[in-house]
Amino acid sequence: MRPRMHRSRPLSLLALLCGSLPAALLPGCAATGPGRAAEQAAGPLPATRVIAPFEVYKGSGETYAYPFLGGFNMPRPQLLDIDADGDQDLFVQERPNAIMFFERNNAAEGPAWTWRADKYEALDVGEWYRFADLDGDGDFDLLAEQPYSHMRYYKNVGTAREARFAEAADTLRDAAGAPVFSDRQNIPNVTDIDCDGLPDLFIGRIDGTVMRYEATETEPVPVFEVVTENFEDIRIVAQFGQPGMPAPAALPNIPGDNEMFMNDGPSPGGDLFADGAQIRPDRLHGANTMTFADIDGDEDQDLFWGDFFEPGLLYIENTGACARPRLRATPVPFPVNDPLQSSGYNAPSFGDLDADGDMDLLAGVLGGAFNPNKTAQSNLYMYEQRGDKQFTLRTTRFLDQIDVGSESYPVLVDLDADGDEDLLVANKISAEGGRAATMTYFENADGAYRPGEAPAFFPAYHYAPAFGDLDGDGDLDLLLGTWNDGIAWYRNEGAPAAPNFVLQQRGFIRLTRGSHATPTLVDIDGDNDLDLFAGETSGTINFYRNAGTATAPVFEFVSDNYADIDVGRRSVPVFVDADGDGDADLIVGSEQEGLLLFRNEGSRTTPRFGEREQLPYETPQAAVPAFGDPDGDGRLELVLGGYSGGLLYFDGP
Amino acid sequence: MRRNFNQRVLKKAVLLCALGGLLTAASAPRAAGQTHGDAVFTRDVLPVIQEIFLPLLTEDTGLDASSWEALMRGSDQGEVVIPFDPDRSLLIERGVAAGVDPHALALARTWIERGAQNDDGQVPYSDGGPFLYVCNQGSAVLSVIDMEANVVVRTVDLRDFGFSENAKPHHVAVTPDGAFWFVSLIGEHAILKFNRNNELIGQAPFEAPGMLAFDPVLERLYAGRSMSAVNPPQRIGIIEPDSMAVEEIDVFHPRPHALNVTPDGKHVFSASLGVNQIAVLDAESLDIELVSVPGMHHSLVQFAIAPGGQSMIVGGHMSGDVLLIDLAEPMQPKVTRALPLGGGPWHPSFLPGGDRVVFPAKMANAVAILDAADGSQIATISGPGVAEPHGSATRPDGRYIYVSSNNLNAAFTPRYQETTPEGNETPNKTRNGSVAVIDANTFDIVKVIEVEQYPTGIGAQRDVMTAP
Repeated sequence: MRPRMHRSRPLSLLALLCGSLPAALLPGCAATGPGRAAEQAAGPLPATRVIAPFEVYKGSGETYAYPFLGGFNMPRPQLLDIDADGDQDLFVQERPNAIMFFERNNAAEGPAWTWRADKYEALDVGEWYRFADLDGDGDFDLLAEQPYSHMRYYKNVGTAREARFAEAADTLRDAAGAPVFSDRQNIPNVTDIDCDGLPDLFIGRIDGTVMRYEATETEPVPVFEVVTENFEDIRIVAQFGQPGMPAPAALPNIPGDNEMFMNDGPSPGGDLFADGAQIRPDRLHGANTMTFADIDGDEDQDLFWGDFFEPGLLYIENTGACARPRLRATPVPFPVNDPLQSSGYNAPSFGDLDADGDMDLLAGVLGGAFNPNKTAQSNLYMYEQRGDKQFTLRTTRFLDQIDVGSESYPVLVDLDADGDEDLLVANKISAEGGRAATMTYFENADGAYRPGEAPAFFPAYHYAPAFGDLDGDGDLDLLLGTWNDGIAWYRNEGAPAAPNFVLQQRGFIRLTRGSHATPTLVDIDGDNDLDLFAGETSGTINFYRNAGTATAPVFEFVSDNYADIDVGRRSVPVFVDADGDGDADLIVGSEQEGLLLFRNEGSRTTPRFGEREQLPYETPQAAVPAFGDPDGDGRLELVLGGYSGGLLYFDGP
Repeated sequence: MRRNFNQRVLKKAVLLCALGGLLTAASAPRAAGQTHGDAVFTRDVLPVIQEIFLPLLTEDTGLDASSWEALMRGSDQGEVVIPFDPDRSLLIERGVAAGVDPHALALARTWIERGAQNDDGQVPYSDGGPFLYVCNQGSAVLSVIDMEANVVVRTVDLRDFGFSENAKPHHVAVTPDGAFWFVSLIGEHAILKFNRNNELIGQAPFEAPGMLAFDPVLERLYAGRSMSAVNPPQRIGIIEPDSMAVEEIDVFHPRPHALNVTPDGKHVFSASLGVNQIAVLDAESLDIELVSVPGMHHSLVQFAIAPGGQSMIVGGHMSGDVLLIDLAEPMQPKVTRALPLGGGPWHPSFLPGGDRVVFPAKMANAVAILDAADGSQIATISGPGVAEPHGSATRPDGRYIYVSSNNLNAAFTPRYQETTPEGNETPNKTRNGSVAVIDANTFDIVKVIEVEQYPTGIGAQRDVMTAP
């Protein structure tokens, strides 16, 4: 254990911009940086989730259609017409226990999906969900995981046009009365495989086999009976690029980024067991997903399988007939003419995405054994089926949005000193090199955000920047939190409009223990200098009082359990005057607890923080709040980062 | 011959009459102090076993039922009685399958339920050990093997402690002295603590637990993650064994599976199934370093660390490669050699001398013995009972190597088969896993111990037992 008392080295310069602001506006300084935005930041907390509050441009010059959707790391899509209006709506599960809903609208310029909910109908779904008409009444019911590894059944008690779900069984049981079990990482599916009007339930198992149940009753809840533990003798054992399996070069027309994911082929030295021993290529320890679709238009259901140890999507053609399914063909990579390749564990869904009358493919990449970091940004693949029945990859970022990979960390700051707030977003790790975090910068230019060049910092994981004028020279300096290298100190040796951040000291502040240092600067005691707070992995708050001056701060360790605040894990403190009483209230992001407000019940000079109040936001895991006024309307807005690598935006009231 | 036959018939008739009387009394309303336990082993139970049950054990050789001690040693193939667990005792299984006299069955069952005691009330193997703990992931049961006798001497049925049939015990860690053992339940998202008497004395909730490692220096239990979630936390657990309080530490990579701790307790290693990366945790400061691992996608399964802590070894599920890693600078482990072993290298272990490594090769139905210095292959072991080998461990004195086998593909056939109502034999679905006992000097398989369904991780105490 390190000594509990820490002193940073003194800083030398004199002025402190935030310290010169009116006292009542000071809290906003820490949240937004100095300048005009600070004056406008304090106020009632924002409440309305907005996906596209203003234009945000991509590097290509186009705008994001869904800039503040929140990011995807492991999207599990399903296309279906939930409102019986003749087009296919979209559901996506990104995080546990919630499914996002996008309603389809067919406009003149083509189909579009409008975000409607982050947690559709407030349904708890565990690790997976499947909509299907289980009771044969013409509307979609819902199967979902009942943690752990059992099945919950929601019956649609509304109508085909207006779905309304009621939990009918918290644990689905088979005909023998035993709970139906499916390892929660293996996502099952439902279809009527033999066209007898009764739903069949399929569960993929870790040994690559498929278990089939068929419903014997559907009211009041489905009762499934085991038909076979080894459906069609399917055993998913193929895995391309492995010893004994086809080399990558043998695959046809693999997309250009194939090299990212494929193995180098069999080990050059071979296999010491190859002679004299029977090699079984079975994949164990796996996780899988599957879906059924009549992709070849022969009116029977074909099978599509994604697996943790499979970079592609496997297709097993149903060569039988509707009433007599036969799925004994060798699995082949799909699309056959242009096989999908990713980091593995691909979750497929089929539907007519482009309204041309045929089925297209939408596949979420959950990330398997082929470096999921590389698909942290691009993980919702859309393949269009063309008129010639061939498939073409249209995008790997369907529902395109700001997505910096994993664990986004936004900061609203006027980085170019032009009087408006720019947006800087850090992440956990680069999707490219995987050696360090990256920063993404969007410059606010006349109300639209355009990509710019982000400042560069020393390599570390999980940047967490906090800006403030630490040396009193009128520009913004920087404290940079990192995953396990403490907090670094960068002095701005450029100009306010053209910052040049120069590293002064790595490990400038080291937490007493733990990682994920998330600093924020605020004058908490009204002495006109910036004090330092930092969150950390354990969920507590570290407080370093500035025992120096506004121009030569000395951050003196006070507590690593400030105000006995503990938000569970991954605390990210920010200060904002949430109640308009002129002092700094504390809002803390957390891993699982959402955003928590601690009102300052003391004063500007003697803060005293009250009991935690849960703020009513549907937050992502590892929530990182940034308050400010990015749209310049004078009201307080919230930009929220999180586990999925994107951003959420909440507009002021 | 005829005379012998008549004698046997007469003897059996007398036995059954006596048995009937005993059991009639036993099943009648009991007076105070009168129970099934009143049966005396040598007088009441042994004759029944000898006459009725022994002839049913047609596939066992070397079984001596002349005395309690001999019976408890089992046959060349393994135990026939598991104290306290009649349902998993071969004696009862065969008796049920053969439809033996219900009174005889009840007598034997009761005797086993009460611990299979001898005439003096001694429970077999109550002072035994060292013990090997075998997770039967498909059965919610752990088998406890006495490594001196090489027989299953106890079972721990997790359902008896309120867990489900899908509890899925996955891996086990044992304190060096054998006083406590821990097991991860991937179906229950929990880690349990048992004492040497197999009493549950603690538990901790833990999402998708996987591999376990116990550090006797700082007295901590470390826990990694299994596959049992779409997105398990990218953290390992540090568990304080007295309170079972959990602290979780980020290791930054998806699906941190491989896990082990150096013998001095100073460094913990975690590796990912999804990324070629090792995380090193300084156990005291909790600082972490990430180290990239070269090569194709490995999916690193499990580490073994040399007894001296100077090196470790790990296998890649997908690559088939075995990586030799130098730990001269533990926070910067260096891959010194990558060997294309193939065959799905799974849970390795070092022999006590530190010069040799045991590597089960799951997809090759074989076990490799490697030279720890250069990775050269010293022996390849295959044969009965090595069927999708998974876990490995060594008896503390180094005499025997133990390798568990999943046998999900029925490559190994247990010595008795279940019978369908039509009389056809079918693969035994409830008791078809195995633990191969391998001579650590000759590398011969000297015994195959049948256990329950889908055996996975195994663990044994490290210290050689000393006489009390």
